[in-house]
Formats: sequence, structure tokens, C-alpha cells
Amino acid sequence: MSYSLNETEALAKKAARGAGSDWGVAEEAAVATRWLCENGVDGASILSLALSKPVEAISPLEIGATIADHAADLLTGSFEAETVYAPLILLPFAAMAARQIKRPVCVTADGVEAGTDGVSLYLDADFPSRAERVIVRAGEMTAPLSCRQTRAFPKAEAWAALGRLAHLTYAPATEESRRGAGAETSDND
Amino acid sequence: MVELRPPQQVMTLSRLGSLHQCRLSFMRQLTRRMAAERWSFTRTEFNIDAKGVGHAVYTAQAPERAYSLISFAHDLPDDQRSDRVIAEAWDATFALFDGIPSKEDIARLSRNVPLQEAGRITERELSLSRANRSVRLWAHVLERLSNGQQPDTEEVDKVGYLMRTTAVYGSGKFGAADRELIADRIEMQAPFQAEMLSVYLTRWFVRDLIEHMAKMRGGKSAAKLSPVIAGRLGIGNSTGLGMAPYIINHPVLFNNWIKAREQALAVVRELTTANSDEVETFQGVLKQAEYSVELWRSEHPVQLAKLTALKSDIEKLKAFVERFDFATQQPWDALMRWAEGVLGLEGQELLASLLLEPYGDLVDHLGQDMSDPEPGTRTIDGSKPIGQIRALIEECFGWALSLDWNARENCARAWYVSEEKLEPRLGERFEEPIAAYEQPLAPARDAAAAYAAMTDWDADTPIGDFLSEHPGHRHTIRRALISASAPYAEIRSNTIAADLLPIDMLRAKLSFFGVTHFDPRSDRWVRVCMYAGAPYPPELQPQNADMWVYPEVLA
Repeated sequence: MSYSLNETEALAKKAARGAGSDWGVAEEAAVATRWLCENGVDGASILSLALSKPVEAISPLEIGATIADHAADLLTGSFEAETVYAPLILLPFAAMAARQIKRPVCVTADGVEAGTDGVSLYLDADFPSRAERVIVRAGEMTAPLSCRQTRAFPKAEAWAALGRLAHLTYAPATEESRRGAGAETSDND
Repeated sequence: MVELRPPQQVMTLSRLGSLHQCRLSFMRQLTRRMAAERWSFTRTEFNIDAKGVGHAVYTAQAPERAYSLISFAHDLPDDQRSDRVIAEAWDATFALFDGIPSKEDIARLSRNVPLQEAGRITERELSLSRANRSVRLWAHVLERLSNGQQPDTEEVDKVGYLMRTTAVYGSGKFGAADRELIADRIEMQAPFQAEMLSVYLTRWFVRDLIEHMAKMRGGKSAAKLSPVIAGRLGIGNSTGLGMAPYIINHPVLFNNWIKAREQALAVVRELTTANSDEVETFQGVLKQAEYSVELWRSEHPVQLAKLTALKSDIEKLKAFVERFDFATQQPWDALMRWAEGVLGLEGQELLASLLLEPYGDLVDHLGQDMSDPEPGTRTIDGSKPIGQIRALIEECFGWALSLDWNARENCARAWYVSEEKLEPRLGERFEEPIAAYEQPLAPARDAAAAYAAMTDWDADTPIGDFLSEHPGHRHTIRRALISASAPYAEIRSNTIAADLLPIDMLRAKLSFFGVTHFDPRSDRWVRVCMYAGAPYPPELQPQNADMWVYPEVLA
């Protein structure tokens, strides 16, 4: 089944929040998921993988945010991280950085490369789902780029997993809360 | 040079909750465009039985493409009629289709649209909506028409509509096309044009449906609605709390709405003189607006007080205008400055909207700038110095920095989403177990917290360094950066205060749609009327496409 990019983004934000992300990070998780889908990658599966990292591991979303927030540093050096879950989720953040420094940004995960010019994505089919070592640097893009997609085609299990996380953001309904939304009068008038 | 009114003045909830429709409202932008471009409208299918069950298709043909409303009519028992999100059945359900639907499309939609949130639509659909009858007026009109009589005008005016929409979902919801897919079409450039078109066609369907039902009941002796009464009927809209967060969650978009109206107002105030035609147009709409306010019904004490104040403002305004010398330099500016000293917020904002009416040529083009050209979450520029972020927070939320955010009255409420059909709700933080589920809809409180966390940071440090240590303030820093280029992005009032009136937020949004006659049903739920007075699609002409929002004064 296909989903709109907006509903994918909305679910991703809730899921990231449900998994414990701060609101601002959840907003970026949503943008990142949408960006991957726009570039023909199942962003829902990548986000689901990123959110199911072991508790002790650093969140790839926070690594991504750090890369985007310190984009200018990529003009003078590279950024490195160890033991990164779902390193593909870093690419939308690399794209944010690329747009800021107006240069393509490459992400190398255990020697396999992906890159972005800020808009589209170049991805090696062997890009790993977990990497011991990730290097992010400004570079040049010569490889073929992805085409824009207008719909998301998530794997059903990933979509369901995000749905379960999103559900954690909903308050259980109570009689008291039911009064907290509606009119005080009947609608049969 | 007349300056734009400052955000500190414009963006308080009490003023936003007093806004009125104007020339830039989205419904009026749509009807003006459809008439100017000579859109044609056709009822291509009407397949509804004597019980009122079936479907109908209405197509609007624009210069380059068509849009079709597919309507499903249902036989709904009274005990299932609810305007809330938690409802599961409705009197009628709709989808706006991008183009002309095939039989297969209609079959597919007939399995999904009646289910609303529980169904799925596709990128061929631009909106999904539903409507409930006004039980009282429906019964009255049906009874009268089937007996060959016209409904009682007073009954019609008491309610104002035969059906009210209870949700109009667009932009990707439940599988629909994302707005981005249609945003580059000239006729979809202004905000919510697909949704506004859907409601416009819905009004036509509702007129056809009641006449059809009357004919089924009364046979040959049944009457059709007189054009005058049909014209007065709008489509109601029942809007709940769920819409209130929208203006917080879309700060750039909301800024663009407010800014366009403020720019339009400044353009008019800047004019050195006003000619007699312009003065006459203004005086005419003032009279019609007064009549519209007379027709405005509500039983809610807050709205009743506002209506009393508005009526008194209109009296004062009329008296002042009567002896006002329009040969004064910058007459409209003088009028507005007088109003700021004498009228309440309702009166000031009504005047601000009315002043635009004589000047379509000067202000209507601003309607094109009311969308957000880059919708979505803005990227944070982490290189910005902390000193600059502090200044931005002081600008928007200076008033909030000294507030005691732990005092109960300042944080009494919390916005959350219920697991029950995902209905957005507003609860009492200190009385219900909801704080853990709170949505980030208190920008002022969050800004004060971020500001406090920055106290010991050097002004030259890049904000990215601060965020690495304080990811919890990330959403607030993003908003602060947005406010640098969007001065009207932030509401300058406390959105979780004990005395918050969510209906103020609803009115701010709905006024830009162009709705009238706000009738709060509680402090968080409002009924309004759309397209009352508008020509029906087959009668739409350039000369009746715009000023319909002002009712003809009946003796």
C-alpha cells in the first residue's frame, strides 16, 4: 500500500517522540524519513531500525542533528562516529548540511559510500544497516542520483512498528478527558 | 510611511480571536478566481433514492483541469449524529477528486469515503470530508418544500445552513495527495483552495439533495427552494479543538496570512486621499456588515458579550463616519487611528477588514503570498550565535520571560492527543494524568525555559553547541530562528493558561477561510457558516463572485 509523504512524516514524528526523542529531534526524524522516501528509500524501515537501537548506543538521530547543526565544520574537516545504527538515516541530515554549505556531503559507513547534493541521494546497494565506523565529509558527487518519489511504500512491519511507537504518545481515554474536546450541547439540533 | 501594525499588537489571542473575514480570505480568493477564469460546473451524476441514500458527482472545469466532488448520501439515525472526531457515521461523506472520476474510481471511493478516517483514499483525491444535517432546519425545509411552500425566513436565518461539515481533511491525510503535488497549480496556490472548492460544491449538492427529498415526499406539488432563500443558506462548519494547534504548528504559514492582511491594511492607510466611489463602497459594506452582525446568532456568553461590544462599536463607527471629513489627509489611516483609541478589538478588526474592500486592485495580489513556499520543518542554522537567539526570544516572548511558569494559573492546561480516534484534547494538568502526553503547543513557556538554560552561555557561541548539550530545546530554537524572518509567526499569549479560550485560536484560523457568524458551542468548539450569500456554481459570474459575503440589507 502507498502512503502520502505527509502521513509518513506525521507518523514518523509521533513514533520518534513515542520512542523517547525530544520534540525537536522528533521533528527532524520526520523530515529525515520523508526525505528518504522522496528519494526512493523506505524511510519508515530506516527510522524503525534507528529507533530500535540498543539503549546504550547513541541515537543516530542525534548524530544526524549534530552533523546538520555543525555543517560549516565539514568545510574544514570531517565528522566521525563509531557504532552507528541505521547509518542511512544520517543522509537526510547530510543533505541539510549540504544545503547549508552548498556542497555535496558524503557519508562512508564501513567503507561503503552514500552521498547527497542536498536534494537527491546517491546510495551504494551494499550500504550497511549498522556500521562500526562512519565518516561524514564534504565532497563531490559524480555518481547517478535518485529520482524524486511522491509516495511512500513502507514495509508493512516497519509501518506497524512505527504505529506502535506512535501509540505511546496518545493518552488513554477517560470520561474526564472525553469532556475535554467537544461541545457542551447535542449535535442533533 | 504607514508602518505595519507591530506583532505585539496584532498577535495577542484576544485580538486574533476577534478577526473577521476580508478580501484575502480563501473562499473569496477562490470564487473570484473561478469567476474570472470562467470555470464551468456540471452535475454529472445524481443517483439518490427516496430515502436519500446514494451518490452524486459534481465537476468543476478549470481552464487547465477539472476537479470533481463525489458525494455519498446516507440515512443516519439521530443517535449516531455527532460532530466530533469520535463519530463513526455521518449524513453525507465526500471526496474531492483530481479530474473526472471513472466508474472504478467511484466504486473504490464508495467503499472508503463513507468510512472517513477508517478508509483509505489515494493521490487522485485532494480532500476527504463529511457533513451532518441541522436536524431542525432540515426537517422544517423538507416539510415546507414537500408541501409546495417555502421555508420560513426566520427559521432559515436562525440556523443558516442545512448541513455542516464536521471535518475537511486535505494534504495527504488518509492517503490523499500531498499539497506539494498540487501547490504549483495556479488555482491551488492560495492556501486551502482544494478544501474550499470541496465545500463550495458541497453546498450545491445539499441544495439538490433537499429538493430531491422534497420531491420524493411531495411528488409533483413539491417546491424548489426560492433563489433568495437558497442564496442565504451557507454550509455550516463545526470545528473543534483539533484545528487550534494548526496555527502553532505552521508558524511560517500563519505568519504569511497575518502579514498579507497587515500589508493590505498598511497599503490602504498609506493612501493620501479617497475618492467618492471608494468612500461609497466603504459606507456600503459598513451598512451590510452591520446587517450581517444582526443576523449573527449565538447563545454562548463569551460570544454574546463580544457581539454586544461589536454592535456598540458599529454604532460608534457609523456616528463617526457620518461626520468624518474624508478629505482629510490619509483618511483611512485617520479612521484606523481613531478606532484604536475608541473601539474594542472586535470593532477595530472589523474596520481593518472593511477598509480593504474599496481597494481590490491594490491589495488582492497579496493573496498570492499567503502560502508557505517551503512547507515543512525548517533546518536549524547551528552557526547562529546564542546572542542572536536570545534577542529573537526576547522579541517574541519578552512578556513571557518574567512569568512564573510554575504557578498553576500559568500552566493549568495541557494539550494532548487521546488514543480514542486520535482526538486532540485540552486537559487540566493538575487534575488529569496527561502531562506525560503533552504536545509542544506552549511556545511561550518553552521559550522562557530555553532562554533560562542559555543564561550562562557566551553570546558568541554557536547555537549548535548549545543544542548538543540541550536537545530538549531544539524545537524552541527552530521557532526562534523562524521568527527572524516571520515576525507574525508567534502568538503573544499563553496557550496553556487557566483562562485560555481555544475558540480564539479557532476563530483566527477560520476568519482567514472567510467564514462568518462564529457561534461557540463551548470554550473549545465553534460552529460557523461558509458561503452564505454566495452564488451557486451555475450562477457564478465576475459581478457576484466577491461581495456575496456581505448580505443584501432586507427591509
